[in-house]
Amino acid sequence: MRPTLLGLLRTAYVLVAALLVATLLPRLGVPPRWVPDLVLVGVVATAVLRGPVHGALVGLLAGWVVELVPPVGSPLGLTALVMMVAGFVAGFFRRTSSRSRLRAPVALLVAGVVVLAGRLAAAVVGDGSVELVEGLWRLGGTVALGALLLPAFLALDRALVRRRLG
Amino acid sequence: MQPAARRRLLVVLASLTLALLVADLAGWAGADRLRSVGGLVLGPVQRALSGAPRDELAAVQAENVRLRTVAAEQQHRLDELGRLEELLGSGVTTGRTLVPARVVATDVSPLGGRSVTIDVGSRDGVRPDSTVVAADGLVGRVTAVSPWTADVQVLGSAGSVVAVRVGPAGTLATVSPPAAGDSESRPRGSLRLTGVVPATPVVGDVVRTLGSVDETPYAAGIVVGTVTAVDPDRGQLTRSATVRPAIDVDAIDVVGVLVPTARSTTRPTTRPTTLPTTLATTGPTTGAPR
Repeated sequence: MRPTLLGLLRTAYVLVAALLVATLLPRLGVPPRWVPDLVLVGVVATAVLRGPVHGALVGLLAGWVVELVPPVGSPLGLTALVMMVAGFVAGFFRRTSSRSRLRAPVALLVAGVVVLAGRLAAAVVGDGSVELVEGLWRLGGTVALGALLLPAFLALDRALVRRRLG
Repeated sequence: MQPAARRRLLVVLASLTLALLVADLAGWAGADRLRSVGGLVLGPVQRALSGAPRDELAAVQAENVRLRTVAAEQQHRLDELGRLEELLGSGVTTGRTLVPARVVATDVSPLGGRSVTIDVGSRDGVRPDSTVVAADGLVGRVTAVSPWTADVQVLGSAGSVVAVRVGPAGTLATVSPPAAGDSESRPRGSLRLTGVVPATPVVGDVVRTLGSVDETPYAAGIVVGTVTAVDPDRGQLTRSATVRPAIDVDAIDVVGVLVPTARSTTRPTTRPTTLPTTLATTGPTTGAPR
């Protein structure tokens, strides 16, 4: 497999987004409930253009990046699996016929719900605790930001593919 | 990449992830190594991003944290010393030999038993059935002793009955936790006083232990509590009352275990020269029932 500009950009975005979410935004004093899940936005941007399998693959790899950015998740691999499912689900929103602008944000919302459900399930199984209200706030923030970012990402993706760089 | 190949890759990667997840949950050491790799590679980036403080600032902050810890430690010791002084200076302990101790664990059993563990044991001279006191009064008695710790049955736990003298006259009674069949409702944490002889306790009477042979399980004359209410007369032979314990059962910290001292000298006989008074030197004995 030949590394493409799109692939490089995607990798860089996931890395930067994971670092932003884990380090920079809390450092700048952003309260946890306002920190959007930027990595998920990137995963959904890929998934709605390329389908469930590709979305799941990207979600899995991006989840591993999130997992390995310190603080390293515990148990190791849970976030990766949850992100994989989220990318898989978001991939079902690929529909070449529909040109609706709402498609990508809705896919993001569903993926965010999957991530939240995964956390809840892990908390229930592992006897942990999760702030449901905070999670919902985060989901709302992610979708709001995603509604702004996703059209730009999709346009960039399409443009790169058109120029045979993706 | 072909869709089939992509699907195969996804399955392989997902299985690997799942295997890692299970291995991590099972406590596989390699997962920790993977964690440290994440910190090794991305930690410096995070440090740079978060603008880690300069060394001088870090040193000053570390010093600050250390000094604050020291100050907290000193304050803690001071508090402890204060409590010990309170115990040693209180009337409960004057003229008695005791081993000071601290409560290290508490347990409230579902059956109503309440016990605490103190940090002295048989190597410190604590024997089963020794009396345990705090600065304010009686705590309980030692039920079990191990070399370094001892378990204490706290006043008011199920099954603890203390023989007492009530009021200035010293009428005999027992103090026990409120039983299930008690006809009166008593406030939480208070005890039930049951008379042994037909006498009526008065609100405000101080309740002290009667004492037993060799000062075990309870030494004589230790404050148990105060009578706060007297049950109405329903024609019983003896009256009962409510006693508020002198100690706060929920906040026992520094206690003393009384070491029984056997009497070695005989008590001198006295001949009253003037008015026949009560035996003032030995405290109240069998006073007339009021």
